[in-house]
Amino acid sequence: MKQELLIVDDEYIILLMHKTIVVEEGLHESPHIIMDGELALEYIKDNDEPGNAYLVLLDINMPGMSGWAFLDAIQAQEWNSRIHVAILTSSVNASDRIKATEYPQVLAYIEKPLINRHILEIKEHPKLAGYWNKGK
Amino acid sequence: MSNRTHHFGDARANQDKWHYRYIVEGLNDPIFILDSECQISYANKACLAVLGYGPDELLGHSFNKFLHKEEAVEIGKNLAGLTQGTGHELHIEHRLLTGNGNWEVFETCGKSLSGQADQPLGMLHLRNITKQKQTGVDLKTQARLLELLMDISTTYINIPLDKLDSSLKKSLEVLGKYIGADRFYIFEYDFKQNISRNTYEWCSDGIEPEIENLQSIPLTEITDWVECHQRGDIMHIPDVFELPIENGVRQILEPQEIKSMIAVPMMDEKQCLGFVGLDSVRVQHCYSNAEKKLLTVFANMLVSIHNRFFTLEALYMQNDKFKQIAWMQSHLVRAPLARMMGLCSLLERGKYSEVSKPEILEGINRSANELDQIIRNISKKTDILNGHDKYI
Repeated sequence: MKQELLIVDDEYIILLMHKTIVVEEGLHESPHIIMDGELALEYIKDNDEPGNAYLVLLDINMPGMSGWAFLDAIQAQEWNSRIHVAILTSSVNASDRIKATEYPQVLAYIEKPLINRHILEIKEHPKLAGYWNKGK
Repeated sequence: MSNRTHHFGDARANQDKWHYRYIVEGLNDPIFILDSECQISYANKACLAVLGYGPDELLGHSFNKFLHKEEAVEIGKNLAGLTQGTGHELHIEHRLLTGNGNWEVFETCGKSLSGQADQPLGMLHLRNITKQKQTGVDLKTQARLLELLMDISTTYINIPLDKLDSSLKKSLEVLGKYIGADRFYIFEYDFKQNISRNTYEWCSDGIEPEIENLQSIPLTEITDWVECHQRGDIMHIPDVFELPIENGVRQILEPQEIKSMIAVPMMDEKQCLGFVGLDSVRVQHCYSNAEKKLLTVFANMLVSIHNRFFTLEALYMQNDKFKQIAWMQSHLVRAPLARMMGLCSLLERGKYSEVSKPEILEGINRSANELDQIIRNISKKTDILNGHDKYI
């Protein structure tokens, strides 16, 4: 059983920045960085095994498969109960925040930039507490 | 004494006969007497005045030959009953061919008579009711016209945009059938592109649609037509073939086999937006004032609808632009800004294992330039919204 962390964003510098913070703040030792929703979906499909769990830090506005399209696509997957998502976006639009609540996998809606406090909130989320900091 | 009495009786009988003849000849309505073969054996003077036939054209001729063929058989049976003594009275309404070649409507009362040696005869009293009938038809037509105008008004008041298309198609069909047109259509003028475009069309059964062929008519080919409409006048061509052969309008109408047409402009104050029109393909048709009035009301209604949806569309477009600005602010502006904030925060931490310091600085620089461009774009869109786009 593995607990994996995927950082999905179309900007490479953001991916590196978020990876630095995730690793240094001890959320996960070896997160995967992925540049769009479709690649993230493929990664999970290709690597998933029963019992695996995933936390996805998901950007919304990406070319190709957007964050919303990724969330729509996983609704049809039987393994979607093992996916947790923290939306990580620059959008401060209320409609985006409301839309995020429509997806059961979404645990948090984080407005960029990602800072230490956000990592702490994820770690302490009731559904994840004592879980993700073991993903090594 | 008895001779005198007899003489007196004859004189009295002659006087009665003279009185009856005077009455019958003085009547304004035609009176006929038919023999047992339904041939006319007597016709009073009014037959000439009312029917336009002299005695030579009537006496000895069968009454049936003046009847309309759709009614002749049935009425012929009734007349035969009357003149052969099997029916005593009749009261009918029928068409009759008059001397000027017109079919007019008559109310006819008939009665059986006994002639010499009890030979049965039939007497007919005809009354011309064409005018009353026409008045009845006119009243019905007027009532239907009012009903249609009411329908148009109620259909299009507050009609939602998603119902407009189907309602217009239905209206074209209803009005087209009412007027007896072969084709009913709506055209819009596009004075920027200098063309006219057929937007809606209804065709009666057996008439070929032309809408596909009429999507881009150069206004230069129909200058008379356009000028007429721009003045707010109705273009009415009762006979296409009376137009000169080289006339542009004729060259468009003739290949469509149109014999008569009318096109009423859709005027928004002094601006002509397009027109509604009717074609008669099968027969020539001279459009009446009532039909022109109906088309004008319909055209005015279309202008009103156009203006309403034009205003709505402008509002939707403005709303879309506001949405775009909101989206730009939320996503596009904040994206480089959040990136700059994140990279600055990373520099501040002093720990950045996954990324080098030059990469961070380059990222900040790129984000600043991106932000600058986005703000310029937003400014441009706001100017457009405020109507200042001509200064850009």
